[in-house]
Amino acid sequence: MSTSSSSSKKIVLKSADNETFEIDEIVALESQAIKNMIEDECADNVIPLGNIDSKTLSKIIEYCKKHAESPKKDDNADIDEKAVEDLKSFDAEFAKVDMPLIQDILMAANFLNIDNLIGLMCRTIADRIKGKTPEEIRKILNINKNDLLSPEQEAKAREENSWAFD
Amino acid sequence: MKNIEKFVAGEADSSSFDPLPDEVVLQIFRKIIDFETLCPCRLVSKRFNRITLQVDTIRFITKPCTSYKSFVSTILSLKKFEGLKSLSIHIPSTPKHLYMCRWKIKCGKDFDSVIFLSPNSVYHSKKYVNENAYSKTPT
Repeated sequence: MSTSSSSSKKIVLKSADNETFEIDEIVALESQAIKNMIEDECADNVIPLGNIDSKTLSKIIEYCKKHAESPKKDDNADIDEKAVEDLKSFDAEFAKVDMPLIQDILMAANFLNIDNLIGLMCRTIADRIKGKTPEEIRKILNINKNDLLSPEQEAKAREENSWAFD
Repeated sequence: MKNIEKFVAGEADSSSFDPLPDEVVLQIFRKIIDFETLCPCRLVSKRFNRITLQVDTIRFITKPCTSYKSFVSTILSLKKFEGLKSLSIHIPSTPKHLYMCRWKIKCGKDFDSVIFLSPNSVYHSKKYVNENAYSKTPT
């Protein structure tokens, strides 16, 4: 924690809508994809992220900052419980956004290869579709109606799962 | 017809599930675990039906008074999950029927292990609930 952020190396990320974000390298390293780029020395001063908009990117940076600052489990076996709890409540607050943004974050996290964030977004989506009917799930997740089961397939699947729909 | 076109056009500019790769969608289903929640997911779309069936861990909590028909339907439904590796069955106790047991089955191509958990006696005080565990690996 004694390293001053001003002396650490900076990385600039550029969103699809041409907004630039200057962040500490340590924050960028939360992304395995950016880490690989830096290690292979194929990252220029500015890393363009043509498929991530600024709203999504700023959320992702917020997440990476918090997680980069928090002590890692494998660094220190006896990190204090408070830090773990703090990170947990941060994650819970972080996930309180609407579904389109969650899907955008998940897409971007998958592209940037940020494992913890992928896990958090998947868990959030799973929690939101728990106990919902197929029709409700379609609405929540904005599922393409071109891909619905045929009436015969649906009847068959319903029959197989009749116990669940009793 | 117009309505359909409108819906499709409207989807292009809002976030949708379609661009998410299958592995990521499967990760979501893997977090669900409960059989009762997984089954409605199969009916959402063709893609969901296909990906849901790749889940490898399922927890199934039986309902009280399961009929034979419903039991058969459950087995048929479980059979669809071809990559299933771990199945956990919970039989919850109800105030009327004081029984409680848990089955945990781990399977690859063949049965790997069966764990059966059941209390040898049930006390009304939560403090004294002991569980006896038997683990058996078939030869």
